[in-house]
Amino acid sequence: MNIQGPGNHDSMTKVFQKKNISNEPVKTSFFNGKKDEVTLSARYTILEMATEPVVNQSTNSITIEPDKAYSLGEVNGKPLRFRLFQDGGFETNFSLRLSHDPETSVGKPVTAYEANAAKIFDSYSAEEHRQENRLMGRLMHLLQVADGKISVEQFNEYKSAHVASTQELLVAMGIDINRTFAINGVDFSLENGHLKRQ
Amino acid sequence: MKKVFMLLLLLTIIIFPATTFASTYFDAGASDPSTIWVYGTETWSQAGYWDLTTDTQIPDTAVVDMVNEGYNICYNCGMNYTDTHVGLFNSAGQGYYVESSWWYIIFVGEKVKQKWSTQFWVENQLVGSRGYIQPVLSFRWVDSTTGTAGVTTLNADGTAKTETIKIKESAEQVNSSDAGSYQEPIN
Repeated sequence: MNIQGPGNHDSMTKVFQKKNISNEPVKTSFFNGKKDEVTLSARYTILEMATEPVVNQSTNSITIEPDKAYSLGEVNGKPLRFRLFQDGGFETNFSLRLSHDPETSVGKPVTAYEANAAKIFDSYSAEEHRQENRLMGRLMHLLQVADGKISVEQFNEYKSAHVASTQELLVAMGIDINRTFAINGVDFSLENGHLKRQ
Repeated sequence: MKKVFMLLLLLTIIIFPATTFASTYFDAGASDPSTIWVYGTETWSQAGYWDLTTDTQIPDTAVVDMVNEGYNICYNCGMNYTDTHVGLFNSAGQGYYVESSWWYIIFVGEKVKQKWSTQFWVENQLVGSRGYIQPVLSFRWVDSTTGTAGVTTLNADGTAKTETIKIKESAEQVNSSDAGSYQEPIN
């Protein structure tokens, strides 16, 4: 499994990046197997959003804001991108978020968007999804520390094969771990693999 | 082998009360209904629900760390895992496709005590135009308010029980990890 920093060429950005993004709802043919088009109700998927660099190299800092798409390096040579939603959820280009009403959708045809989301999900191997999950898991924990939702101690004690190490994540994002770095305005350093608030 | 298992079981019991970071496991069991049917291709199935809103075993402030939906499919119906797409949703109707029996961080930080649901659809033609899945949902959740630690396993009816097979699996994984501060989710 190769993990590379975001300095590499993000080919998917070229494929999916749209120009002249406005606030108007977008109609797009998501799924070649479907004849219909789907209206996204003024909501763009991460596939259509321009990616912003997650790391400011000059300040060695990360600033992540909701509703912006960021690059999180590569998984097995494939660009990994993510966005946070205002409600705290997130999606990646490996796994799009679905919006769904189970009360009313029973027996209803799968929409083009839902079919395409499944197609995208299936286009990545199980191992690629697991690596995506590992990186996103550690990132979400890191953001929780920066937001004060969990302590640095709790963060450092958390270990799981399902979540990447702090160093692995920071390197994947392009952070220089040999010096102090900032996450959403909070200064940290990494000492012997442990996060330390400055 | 039995001695090894008993040792690991003992380790689990001893280790968990000393854990400082909440690393609790909650098995929500089968959904209601426990068998979820679909009638046709490329249409959404019935919904299966796990209503955890009134579960007294979970702290009100507990949030999701990881979630795992395992599901059996009906092979006799012509189903296969490749053509079966299962979505897991929170009470707001937001969700993701999940593969069976893998731990995801997709709902990390969300309140555990809510009404979860699952639905699926299939791409391929089914025998008799119908098929089903039988899902079991599991949560690894954390509660920083109480900072509690331990393994909590509940049955589908909400009663608190310790299920031997889950403990065995947990114990094996505790043994292979940094057991003093961490409980690997059951996989």
